[in-house]
Amino acid sequence: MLRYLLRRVLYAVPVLLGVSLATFILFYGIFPPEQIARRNLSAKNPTSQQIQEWLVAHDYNHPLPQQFKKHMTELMLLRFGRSDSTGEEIWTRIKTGAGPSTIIAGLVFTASLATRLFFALWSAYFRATYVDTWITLVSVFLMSVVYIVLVIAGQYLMGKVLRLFPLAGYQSGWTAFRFAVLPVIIGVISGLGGGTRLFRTFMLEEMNQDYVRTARAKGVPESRILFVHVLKNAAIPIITSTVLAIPALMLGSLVLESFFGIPGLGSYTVDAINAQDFAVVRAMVFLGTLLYIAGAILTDVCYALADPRIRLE
Amino acid sequence: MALLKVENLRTTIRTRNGLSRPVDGVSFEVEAGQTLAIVGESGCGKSMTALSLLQLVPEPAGRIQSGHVWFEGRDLLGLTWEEMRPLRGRDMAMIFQEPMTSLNPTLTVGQQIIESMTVHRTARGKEAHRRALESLERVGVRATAMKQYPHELSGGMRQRVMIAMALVNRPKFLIADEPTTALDVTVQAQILSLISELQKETGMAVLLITHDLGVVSEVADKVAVMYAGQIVESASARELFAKPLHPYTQALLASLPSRSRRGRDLATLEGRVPEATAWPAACRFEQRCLHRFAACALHAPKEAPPEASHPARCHLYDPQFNTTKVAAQPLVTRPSRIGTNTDGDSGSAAQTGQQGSRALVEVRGLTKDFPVRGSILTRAQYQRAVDDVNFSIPRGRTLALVGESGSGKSTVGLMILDLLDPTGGEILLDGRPVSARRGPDRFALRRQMQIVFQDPYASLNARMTVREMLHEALGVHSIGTKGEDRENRAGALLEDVGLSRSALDRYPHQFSGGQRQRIAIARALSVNPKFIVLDEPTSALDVSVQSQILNLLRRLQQEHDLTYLFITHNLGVVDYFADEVAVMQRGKIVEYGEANTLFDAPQQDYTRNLLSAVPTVVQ
Amino acid sequence: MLDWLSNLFPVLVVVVGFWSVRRALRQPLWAEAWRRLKANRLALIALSVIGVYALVGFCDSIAWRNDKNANSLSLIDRAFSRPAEPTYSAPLANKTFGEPTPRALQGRHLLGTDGTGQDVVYLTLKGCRTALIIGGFTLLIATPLALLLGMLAGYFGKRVDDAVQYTYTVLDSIPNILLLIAMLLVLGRGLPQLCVALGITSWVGLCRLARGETLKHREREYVRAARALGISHGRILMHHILPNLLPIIVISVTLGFSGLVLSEAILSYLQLGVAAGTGSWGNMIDASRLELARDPVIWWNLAAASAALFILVLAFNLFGDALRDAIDPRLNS
Repeated sequence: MLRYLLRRVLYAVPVLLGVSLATFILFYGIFPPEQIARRNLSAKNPTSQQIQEWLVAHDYNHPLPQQFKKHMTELMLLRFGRSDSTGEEIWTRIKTGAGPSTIIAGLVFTASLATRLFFALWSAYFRATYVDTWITLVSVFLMSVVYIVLVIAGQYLMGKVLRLFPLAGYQSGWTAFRFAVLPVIIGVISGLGGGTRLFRTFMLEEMNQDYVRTARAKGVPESRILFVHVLKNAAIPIITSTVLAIPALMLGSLVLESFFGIPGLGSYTVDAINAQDFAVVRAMVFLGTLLYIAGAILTDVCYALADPRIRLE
Repeated sequence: MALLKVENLRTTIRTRNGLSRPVDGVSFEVEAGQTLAIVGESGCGKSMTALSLLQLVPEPAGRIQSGHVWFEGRDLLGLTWEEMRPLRGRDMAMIFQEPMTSLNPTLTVGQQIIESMTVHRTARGKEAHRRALESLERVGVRATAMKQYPHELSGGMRQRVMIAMALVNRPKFLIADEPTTALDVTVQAQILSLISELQKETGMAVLLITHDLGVVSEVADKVAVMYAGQIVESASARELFAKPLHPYTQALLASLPSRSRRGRDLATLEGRVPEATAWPAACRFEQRCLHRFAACALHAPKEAPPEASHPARCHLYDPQFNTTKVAAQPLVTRPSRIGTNTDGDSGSAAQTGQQGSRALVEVRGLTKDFPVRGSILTRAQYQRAVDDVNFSIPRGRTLALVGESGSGKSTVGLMILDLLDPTGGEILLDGRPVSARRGPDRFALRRQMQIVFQDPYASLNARMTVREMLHEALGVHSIGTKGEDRENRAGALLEDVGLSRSALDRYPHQFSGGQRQRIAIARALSVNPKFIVLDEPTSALDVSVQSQILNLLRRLQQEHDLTYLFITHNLGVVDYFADEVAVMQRGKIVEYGEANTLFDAPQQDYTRNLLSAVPTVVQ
Repeated sequence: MLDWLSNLFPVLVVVVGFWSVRRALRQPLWAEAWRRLKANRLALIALSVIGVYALVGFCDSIAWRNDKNANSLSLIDRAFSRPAEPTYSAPLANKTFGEPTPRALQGRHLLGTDGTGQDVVYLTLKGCRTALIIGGFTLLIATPLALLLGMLAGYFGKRVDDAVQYTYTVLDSIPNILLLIAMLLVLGRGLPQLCVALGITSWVGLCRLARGETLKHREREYVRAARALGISHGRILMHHILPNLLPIIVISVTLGFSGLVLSEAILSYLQLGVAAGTGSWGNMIDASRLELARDPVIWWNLAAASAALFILVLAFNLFGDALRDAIDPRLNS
């Protein structure tokens, strides 16, 4: 197990190198620092003097090879430097933003998994009846709604019309949950359609396997077949699909946090986009990749725990 | 009173092409302690009959329409799903064809056996554990398997586990649906004898579903032959094999390859089983029957009265229609159209063998290693799949490469054709090494050797018409001129393999399995090869179609002076077809020699085991 | 001259589209799939809805200028453009909305007007072309790239496979939205930039699919038989493997289309969508963010854009599902 983990982490190194190379090409090759300076400087037609000063101030004034070395080593050592627009240390913002983001994303993730599983099991148990038909139909409808519309309409309906939750804002401590409820509900609903449908497909696929026929021939009750035999096998593709949910989770935190004014990493990124803050976006891309890779490794471990055919060696 | 009595069972399945009737009025009886075998080709409704008994037909498309299934005096078809459940697995158990997929991969063997008891409350806790161990021990599986998962066991062991699971509640009735089809022949023999032993011990009745007449003749007391959703003949096993009445049964038996039929054509059944969505209104076998007469196309043959000891659903035995009162003569195998030699033992191929003394194909020290696991960090490990294989095939003769699954026989075939690089050794064609050739020389080699694969569904490209396939083959090697000439050649190739020219415009899915195999053979012949590797060419086919293909291959060999490497696990086919035999085990050739000698006096234990495990029809 | 060229392109797209569909329908697989689709009423409705959107998009692409100095106007501009009102107005109202002293309007508007006084029906229709271009051009970029690399990797294996797999593993480990943000920040706002960025993020899934399927088919006996006949690798890839991959590729492209249209809306929210001047549903939705906070609320802008988007995406989802059911996967083996 430990050896497996070590190997997976080692495998991640070339991928991370590739990612930082890709960001280098994007941020230095395609879009050189002079352009960044131009966009960041408030003056409409900055002189070359001003640009040079800005480059020196933000440590961009190196020839390309040196810049490359600096970029690669700093990213790999997780030294993200300072923000282009505010000059603030990026790590300090990451530290303050991590808390709220973890709460929102963690709640959305667990609540999503639970609701999807619930509806998918419901659908599979009542397969080929009107319950199943309705769940499938509603799922397709939900899948077709734009995320943003859901957020806007959800806030309007639950916050403004029904006055159930605070419209936006955030406080640390236990009151955080009061502010988290609305974004979390909307986050869960947004992924419910696609998730339920996917999980339902996994379960129905398992329902058609030979071992289900064996269980029926043994006289195992239908409910036990679904909850023991099928669920245990469907868990394998379900776990795999949760890796795919990680990017969606990040998208969710971007939109939800900025919309509901939650001071997490998502809001930070959206602010950086608006401020044309390339240093922050670069750091966020790398951090997001790290999280994704960590999630993928974690998923593989869960996968091996769920499937006895896979051994971690 | 019979333990199980089925009356007029009808099951339908809704399909895209309409209502399918795989079980269409089936009646039979099984006594306690007896084995009834239902035998027939694929698509005849055997498996659906078995599933109908336990009401396990696939929902919601499948439906049992009518009939009765009397079990210990109760009509099971009157029971609801929940009322039926206590009987399943307790009084009536079932085992399936694929032991790989029929066990739950995420539960241990012990959990699955114990579950059989707990759901019926026949035992629980320590008692259930003890009984599970006991039943595993009885079927010859070690006790440590309790904590193992199905994938950690071999195919044979898994089928034993299935049996242990089915029998742990001591059912009165066991349904075995093709229980040995997926297994190697030696394992098959073990499983069959295990079922018989357990049957003697417990006195249960067994319903065996199979397509293998050899298996039937080894284990069945009674046999019911099924064709097109109906039982067409039933009798005691001995009587059925001694005196088959129905023309279908006769044809099935006559199409079995064996040494005594060597050098002669096998009997064949032309055509195919009609679609279950549209059974013919009159006799369902009429189209393929060699004994048909006028009445057959007009009336459906009546079911024989239940008290008859050997009923056959055929007009030949109905005095109302067959007024001449002449019973059908069992089919005899027709003498070959080509071979003048009707003496079975020395085939005509032996003569050609004398003419061409030099070997066409020679294999020396052939070895192949496959990497088992290898990555950047760990050193690659290799497994030897083929280990120092040597043989030679004289021009115009057939060498059979025999072995169980995983013995490396197909790998040898692929290496000879240069489709897989050997790790070591040499392959000579006409005295020149194959793998040393490069460029155009290597390309020219393709014209001299070809291959025919096992699965006629996978070996043809589903998106190409037969014309496109044959034209492509001719085109690559610039055979003939574009247009009419190639069109004629393609047509002639099809006629050569017994298909009409009209087949050119069609796609593979419009053909039956046997027809597809003919197309694959036509494609191989298109470049006029000297040597063809036949990689299990009949294993995926029903016996009646197998005989058609074997007849065709034999004729083509003589007409085109072909040399064959026949890769197979079917020893009956080898005994009928091959001049020489090489027996492979774990990558090595353990015995190699002239076919008759090898079969009469096998020198190695492995060969002896293999031969004794083959179930044979005693006629 | 330029008008003529830019009008030729949409015509060409339609002609080539029709031609390939007609050719495909001659193949039994597609003919059979079409026969099943025709029996599915929901699929037909979905297909006609897509057809209507396509027609609007096509009409919006046919444009010419009245005189040399004027902007070129499309058929949609000519038919639906209305003179601008001063500001918001409710559907079918005759006065402006939300002003202390409402002013009279120049005309009535079925779905009202937005903050700049533009007719909402017209804006919604203009969004059609943008959505179709985003979906269509992105797939036009991504699909050939994905197929080429995926098939080469799956068929030849070894080094080629390593290189392709490494490339898409790197791309795939950057969460899509972050990669999109990074690229669009660098490339700037605009329709072509959006298509390129979405193309780069969306080819990975298709490529993985194509690679996996090719890997499966490479081991199939029909490919081995073709190799035994000496048929070249290129021909095996193009004539044997590609036609067998097409059904699964077509299904996944159809289902992928709706995802692309949806991402435009999200990117517009992040101020990374198409330029503000280009009519797009994403921009309309983004603009309506604050309108719901007003009292009384302005709902028509949001409703029109999200309904137009919802119906198109729903139609694609339903049609994709029907297509998947119609192309019997069992025919593939």
